[in-house]
Amino acid sequence: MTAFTTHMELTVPSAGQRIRELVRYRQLMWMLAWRDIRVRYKHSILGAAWAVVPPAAMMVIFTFVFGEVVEVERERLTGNETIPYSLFAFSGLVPWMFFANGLTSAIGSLVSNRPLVTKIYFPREVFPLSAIVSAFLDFVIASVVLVILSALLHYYPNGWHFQASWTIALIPIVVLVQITFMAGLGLLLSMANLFYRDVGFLFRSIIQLWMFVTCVVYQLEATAPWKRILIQLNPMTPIIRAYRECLIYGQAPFDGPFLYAAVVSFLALAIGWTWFRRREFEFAENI
Amino acid sequence: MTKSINVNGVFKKFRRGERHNSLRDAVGSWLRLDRGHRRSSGLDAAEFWALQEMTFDVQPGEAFGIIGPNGAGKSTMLKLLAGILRPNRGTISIEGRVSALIEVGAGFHPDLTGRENIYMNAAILGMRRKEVDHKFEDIVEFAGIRDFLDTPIKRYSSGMYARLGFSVAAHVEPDVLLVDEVLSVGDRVFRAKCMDKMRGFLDRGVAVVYVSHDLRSVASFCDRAMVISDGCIQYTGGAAEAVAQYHEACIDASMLPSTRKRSLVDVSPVRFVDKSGRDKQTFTPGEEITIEFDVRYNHAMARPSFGLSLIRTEDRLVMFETSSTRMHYQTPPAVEGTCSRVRYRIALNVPPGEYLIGYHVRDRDSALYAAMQEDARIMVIGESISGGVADLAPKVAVEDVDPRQHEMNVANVGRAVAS
Repeated sequence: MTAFTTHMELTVPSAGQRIRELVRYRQLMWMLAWRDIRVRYKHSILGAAWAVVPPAAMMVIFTFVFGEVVEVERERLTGNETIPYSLFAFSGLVPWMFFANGLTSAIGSLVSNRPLVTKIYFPREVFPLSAIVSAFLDFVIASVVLVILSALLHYYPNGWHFQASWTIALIPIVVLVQITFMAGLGLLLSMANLFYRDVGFLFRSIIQLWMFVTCVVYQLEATAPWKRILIQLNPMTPIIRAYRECLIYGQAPFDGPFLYAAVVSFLALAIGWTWFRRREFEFAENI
Repeated sequence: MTKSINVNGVFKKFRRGERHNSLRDAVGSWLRLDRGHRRSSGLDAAEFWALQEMTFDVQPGEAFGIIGPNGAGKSTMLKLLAGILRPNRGTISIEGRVSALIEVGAGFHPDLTGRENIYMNAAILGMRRKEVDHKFEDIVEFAGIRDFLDTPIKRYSSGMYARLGFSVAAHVEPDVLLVDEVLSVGDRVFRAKCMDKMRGFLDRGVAVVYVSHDLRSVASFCDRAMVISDGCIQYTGGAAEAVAQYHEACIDASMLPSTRKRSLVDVSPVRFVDKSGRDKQTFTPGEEITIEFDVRYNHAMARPSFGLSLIRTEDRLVMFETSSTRMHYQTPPAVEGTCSRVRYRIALNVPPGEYLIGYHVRDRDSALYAAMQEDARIMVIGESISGGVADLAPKVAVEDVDPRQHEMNVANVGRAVAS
């Protein structure tokens, strides 16, 4: 057991101290994420297979609505074949659902763990971060299905050929950028929600809109020019696009917009986390 | 000697009501710029000091009690020590790993099994997985829930729940242990086990801070104790003296002039006098004590009767009751406006603990009850030869007997041991 001294004053722990503390409590983060998953699927027959259902259902909906309307085949395809819209939509929906679900549960995480926040001490970052980790596990399961679906569509009647490109190996970098962005927003918004519950309500509406300001189910090129500025300012647009480029188009995604998204994500984490550490000691008495 | 806990001039303020109930209020207050209207004391109108000028040390291997009425700030102090809250002024330093038993099983999830919750709760308390693997058997054994390890804990009884919670926390191997009123759950046997476990901690040099309303356990377990009320330290010293101090303070508080309407009788505060004629509130088991109160009659009574009862505070068990009528004592008729002094002498053949004294005055003929009050308390501290409720004046003898003579009773003895 390591001995350490706690000295409490009105000082904010330094980032280094805090990282050491988080490392010490890393198992707790996994445990909380595991608990979430365990409790979520405990009384269901399909269990974790439910992770695939929401993006799949959304895919069916969008295929039904947009299937013939949106032309997605004209963009940067290798060869002359077309990508089935359903795959296009699913490849955007899987990471998007990770973003939306992960953030939604991260935002409520401090408030829903009130007994722990007010009764036991450990770094409070653990709550929003573990909420993101538990959404990430759902994302991994859905991703496996996404990859299998892509491979199966190799035999798509129109003859589109899925080629497992080396760029699939770049996906972890895209995931990392997305998680950085989510962690930054998650820390910031979970704290804001603790002080003002309005934040949670507001977010649930905004996230619906946000999806349509992100190119989840259509291409940027398919939108009206005046909307594109807003869509391009949104860091989730290049992130979702990067997934598709790695998986479907076989291209490395590191262009200007993606770099922009990476910088915004890093800034979000830096700001969110610093602010979180400054206000953390007020959580227990304000929750 | 190094100190485990050093608390120096700690102040903590709280806010009445919410800071802002919603974003709307918050935006409103930002716009009006009315933040920062501070009085000279450092408080604004909605704030108050929950704790003031807290200064104390706890040494390794020492049990330190904190006692005081509800709302005095005991739990706030523990939360400050645990790092859940931060002081507004002053410093707290703690040497080593802290384990706080502020609420047993705070991290339990009802849908998870006992086994899963052990791992979960241990992680919350800062234990590593390997450490838990290593101590798993001990934790299960101590909690006594082996048969229900794979049952979701929503099916547990509240006693099992508490036992599991304490058991996990007790295996953290802290350097500083904070305990808040958690032993009030669980049965007697388990409570005794917990106390033993905590004594074991003390032997290993763990500093224990113990908050409880069970004054008896504070007096017997702690080395030193602190009395706080309204956020201020009233007394710090030996545990038994602190308990006695607190006790006396409680009695002073409950003796405020009665605001009741003019009733059948007025009853003076009850006095407790020992054999040598001194007023006291703290006695030893078996001590002879005189209970005395004055009654002024606001109405005439043909045959006034005076009752007395001794009630254990902890579980409100009536240890003893009697009345002048039951004792066939003839009281003279009461004339309106006159006074009587009632004096009961009893032997305090009760186990150590805190007791309420109840008394009543009634008119036998008209069946009018005048008063039944339980606002006077006494404390019995010290060794007693008996436990339980009744002192049956035991005598004991042990002698050798012929083993053959003994055979016929073996079956009975066996059953007695098993039950």
